[in-house]
Amino acid sequence: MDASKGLEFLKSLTVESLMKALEEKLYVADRELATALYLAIQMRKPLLIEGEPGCGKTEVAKVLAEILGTELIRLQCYEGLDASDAIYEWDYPRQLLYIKMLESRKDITELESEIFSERFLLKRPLLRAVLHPGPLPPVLLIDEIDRADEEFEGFLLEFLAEYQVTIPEIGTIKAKVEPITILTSNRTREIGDGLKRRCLYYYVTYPSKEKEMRILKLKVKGLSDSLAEQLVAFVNVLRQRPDIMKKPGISETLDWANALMKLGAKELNREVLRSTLVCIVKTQDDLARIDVDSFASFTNRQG
Amino acid sequence: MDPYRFVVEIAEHLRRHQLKVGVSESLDACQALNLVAGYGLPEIKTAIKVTMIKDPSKYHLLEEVMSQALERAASSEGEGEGEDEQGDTSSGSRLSQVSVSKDAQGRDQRSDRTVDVYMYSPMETLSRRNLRPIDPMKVRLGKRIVKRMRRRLAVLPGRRYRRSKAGELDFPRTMRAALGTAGELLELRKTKPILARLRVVAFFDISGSMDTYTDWIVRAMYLVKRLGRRVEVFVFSTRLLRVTELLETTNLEEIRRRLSERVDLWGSGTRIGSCLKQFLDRYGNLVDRTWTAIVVSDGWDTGEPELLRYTMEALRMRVGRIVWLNPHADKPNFKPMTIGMLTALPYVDVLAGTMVLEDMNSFLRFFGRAITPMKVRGKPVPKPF
Repeated sequence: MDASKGLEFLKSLTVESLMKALEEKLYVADRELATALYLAIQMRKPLLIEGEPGCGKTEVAKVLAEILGTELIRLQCYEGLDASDAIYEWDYPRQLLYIKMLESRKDITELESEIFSERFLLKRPLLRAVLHPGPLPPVLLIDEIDRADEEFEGFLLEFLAEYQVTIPEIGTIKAKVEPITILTSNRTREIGDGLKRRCLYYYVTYPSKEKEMRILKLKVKGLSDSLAEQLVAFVNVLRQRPDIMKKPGISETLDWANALMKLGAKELNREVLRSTLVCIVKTQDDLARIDVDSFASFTNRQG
Repeated sequence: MDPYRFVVEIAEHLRRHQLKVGVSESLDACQALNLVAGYGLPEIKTAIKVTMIKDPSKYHLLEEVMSQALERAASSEGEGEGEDEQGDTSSGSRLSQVSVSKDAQGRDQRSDRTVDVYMYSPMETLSRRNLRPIDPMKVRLGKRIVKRMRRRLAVLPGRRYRRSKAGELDFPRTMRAALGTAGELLELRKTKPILARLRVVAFFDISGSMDTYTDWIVRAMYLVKRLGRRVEVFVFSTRLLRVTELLETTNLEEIRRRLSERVDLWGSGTRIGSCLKQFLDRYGNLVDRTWTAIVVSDGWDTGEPELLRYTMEALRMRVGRIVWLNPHADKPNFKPMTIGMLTALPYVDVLAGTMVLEDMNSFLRFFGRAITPMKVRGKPVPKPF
């Protein structure tokens, strides 16, 4: 979609049109998620999506950028992430070289204003989002915010509330076009109230069996109905077991279905299960807890 | 119905249920309701949900508060002038719509919550325990100590830097200094990071001899999990169980529920050596010299002392520091007498009482008054035999 079509889409945006567009891009969203996205776009408020890993939180932002035909700016959060990696950093080596080049030619005030100008600024994702020329707003994905330190949330507050960043040497830069911002969190720690207050909030959970079947059929071409049913039933049993620590998400189900297609499996039997279980069970503990033989009878019954 | 009044009603209800709903949330809700004005009840509910309920464990309140707010608004409208019959009818129809949708939406509401389904397991034992609620006041006190402990045990660099001749060249500070001398680089500023972070692997003994400390253990698990971002928590008695993920929420009630339902080792015997061996075999790769091990146990051990010695040596080689918290060490004339404690002691860097997580004076007694990070033990790491 080019920029004009994207703008047109945004102008005539409805919950239905958004749902349809998401489905066209192979993202099955329920009406609630589509409404949350619709509100986030219309209200120009960041949307914080929390939920289990592998339930399509990051994918929403990617698909939305694709629908609008706009740039996706991604900030992947990690422990120790700070403003210099997220907002901006001065290009110090270049500044030093510049000072050396111009020394004795300029007075200090002139030099200072020059070296602390946009020219010597290394733009990180948040600043890139603010400086985006438009007219179509970029989609800014702040991924896995729970991995970042609590202090980093403080940096984000000004940005999320006003869509502006302050660089002491230059001043405050306000976004020309406010980005569509999506934050995701796996809930490994509680996000601060300040940040939550600035966002709309949506919690994604594991999909219903019917929805997961639809996702599988849409995303994995050639997957038979019976195999899809077996996969979904098996994954759902694992999700309900309290002793399984890392429960498989939708992405694991999709990986598993793709793996089975590559192996040419027609049904989920004991051998197939044993050899492909690693696609959905990702820890040694959980693998040890699953008795493949007892599940084999379950899958046969399903088949 | 007046949407503003409707939002205010809902906000009041939610606040009564300890949800933090401020004016900004109410304003957002009003704006969202205007945007979904042409849509049906599900969209109205979503608008309220995404703007006002930012805790998924409270989603079940949505139906309740919405129907109550609608009911209240409808009755107050009825009590009012009553001249607008159409308005009354529409409120009434919306109200009935909510009550119908409450039944129809029941399934959706349940799907928002985590549903634990119990199934047969050959590992099931009868030693689960219905734990008492965690006292939030004591947790609050403990959090102060956790902060202090984090600084004292830190071994990894944080984000803050201080000047140090032995550090690395700091471009920003060098530039700033150069500006003071007309851009002339007279001094190269060097800095090094302040140690502020730690990684912790904690082992909690939940065997029969520690029964009297169960409440404390649950609180301590919660607090220790908050010592850093990389914290692994295990419980042990005759076997080892990893509970890190059960603690990955800030909701005390949820932690109590998870530990009650999923930990099945309470009150059995103790085999510290064998449990540490299980850890080293299965999770040994998780830790290295940047990690601190915290063992919480009274040292009563029914396993082989030789195995305990071997595993303590191996653990000492893997991690940078071992802290042992023994509930009896709080007593003034405490002397380690149990075989387990005597065997483990040579490999322990800090032996302290369990009160260190409850009482600041006790913390200062065992960890000292300094706020700088403790030195990691300098003497050679014991060699395996």
